[in-house]
Amino acid sequence: MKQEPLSKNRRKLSRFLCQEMLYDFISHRLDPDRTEAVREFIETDEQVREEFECVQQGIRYAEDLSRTPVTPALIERLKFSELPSKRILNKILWTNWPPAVRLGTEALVISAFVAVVMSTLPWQKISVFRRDKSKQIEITQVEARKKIVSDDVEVAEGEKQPEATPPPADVSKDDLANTSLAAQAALEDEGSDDHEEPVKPPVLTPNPREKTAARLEPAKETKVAAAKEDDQGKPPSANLAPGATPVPVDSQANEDAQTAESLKGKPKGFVYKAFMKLNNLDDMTPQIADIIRNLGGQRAGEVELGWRRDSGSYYHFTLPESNYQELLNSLKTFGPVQIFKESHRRVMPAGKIRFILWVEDGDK
Amino acid sequence: MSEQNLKAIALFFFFAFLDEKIALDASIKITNKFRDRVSKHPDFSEAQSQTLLVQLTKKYFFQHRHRSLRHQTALTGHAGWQVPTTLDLSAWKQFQKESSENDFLAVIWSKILGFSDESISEGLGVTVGTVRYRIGNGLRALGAMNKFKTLTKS
Repeated sequence: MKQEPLSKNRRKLSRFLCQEMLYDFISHRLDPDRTEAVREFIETDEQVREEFECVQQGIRYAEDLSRTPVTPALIERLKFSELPSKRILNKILWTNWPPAVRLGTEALVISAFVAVVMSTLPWQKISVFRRDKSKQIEITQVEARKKIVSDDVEVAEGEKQPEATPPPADVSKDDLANTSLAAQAALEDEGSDDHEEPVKPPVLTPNPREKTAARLEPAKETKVAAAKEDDQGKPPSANLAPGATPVPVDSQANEDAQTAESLKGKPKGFVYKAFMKLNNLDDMTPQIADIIRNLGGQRAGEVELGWRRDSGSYYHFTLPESNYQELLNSLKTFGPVQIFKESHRRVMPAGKIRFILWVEDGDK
Repeated sequence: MSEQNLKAIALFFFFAFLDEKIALDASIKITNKFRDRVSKHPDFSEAQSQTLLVQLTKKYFFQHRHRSLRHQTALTGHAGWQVPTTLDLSAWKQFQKESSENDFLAVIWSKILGFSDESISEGLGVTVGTVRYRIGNGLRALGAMNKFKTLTKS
């Protein structure tokens, strides 16, 4: 605080004011005029003088106290002192752990966290990880059914089974896979509409017993099948393709009854499932239907031949067995064909085979 | 942490509480606090250190003042403070009991520990003039008590 010098006509300092300035006077913080005024007051006023002496004595006493020595032991103790709480905290604090322990603990924590996340995250709900079960199953089934069976060769008991004919050479594996996958999906969709049985696992190799069992029907079933055949009407002979001959059914009824007993409980029938993928399906569909009819084919379900769907055309028909190869050759002229033979509980009359053909639209 | 600061902490609590045990506990705690604060600001100047000590010691004193008033002063001379035998602490004890706490502390910081008036004023958050006023009051009272003791002894 800057002290203004007293004016020339200065008033005498009061005792109170002088008392308050005693410490500053002793500390030499007053300006020369005030210093002189205070000195005069001290000399003249006894009370102020006493107080002045008290302040001086207090200063001397405090200076004596300030010279109190502190032992080095105490200094050391203070220098290296540590609060108990801090000591515990330092031990708990993981940054003070040995590096090996710290790294091991970090690794453990991270591993545990990752394990918890992996186990609790709903992976199936994430589309990237969602498994298309139907496709996987189809792929497995497609690969298992790649053996194409030809029924032209009759196999006696004890002889080797006929080898499955490989797919045509001009058919790429991708086409086969695509056709089969789509067709399988379509067939699974169609099955219920067409009052068909659900698709059963395919037969990898044709069992000659099953093949003969398909022909060898008990008398009742033969009659039923024959009755059905009659209900549907005889295949018009005029529509038969040249070279195709109808196969008589009734002549084998006795042989069928003998082997039917040994195959109780197993699917006794079979069905051929064929898949194709063609462009310009609107034009191809009626052509294929005509070929089937020309070879003696008749619809076997409730829908007409070449039932048009958004993704393809569907054919469910029966065909004289003798015209099987002819049909195959005719279909190959349109494009690659993939055929599977599956066991089915529906038994056809002898000489007749049942077909389900799915032609996928290649334009879509 | 300098030895000067350690000594200042030790002397403050010794003369503030006049109890060696309380002074030792207080010195350890404030030393640790001071060390923590200084470690965060390594470039503390001497004045800033004094200001920080004023703040820390004042806070602790007012929190534990009642402890020193509950019992009589306990000074054995073996705890680390070696008060000269020629020095009579009776005036100081009386000063501790009868003076205002602000004057008492101002005398300790200024005259015993040697802190500057500016550091004390910044630590307390008051003007320098207030600090000098308190010091003057305190010294006057201390001097009067000491004079009285001296006269009575003689």
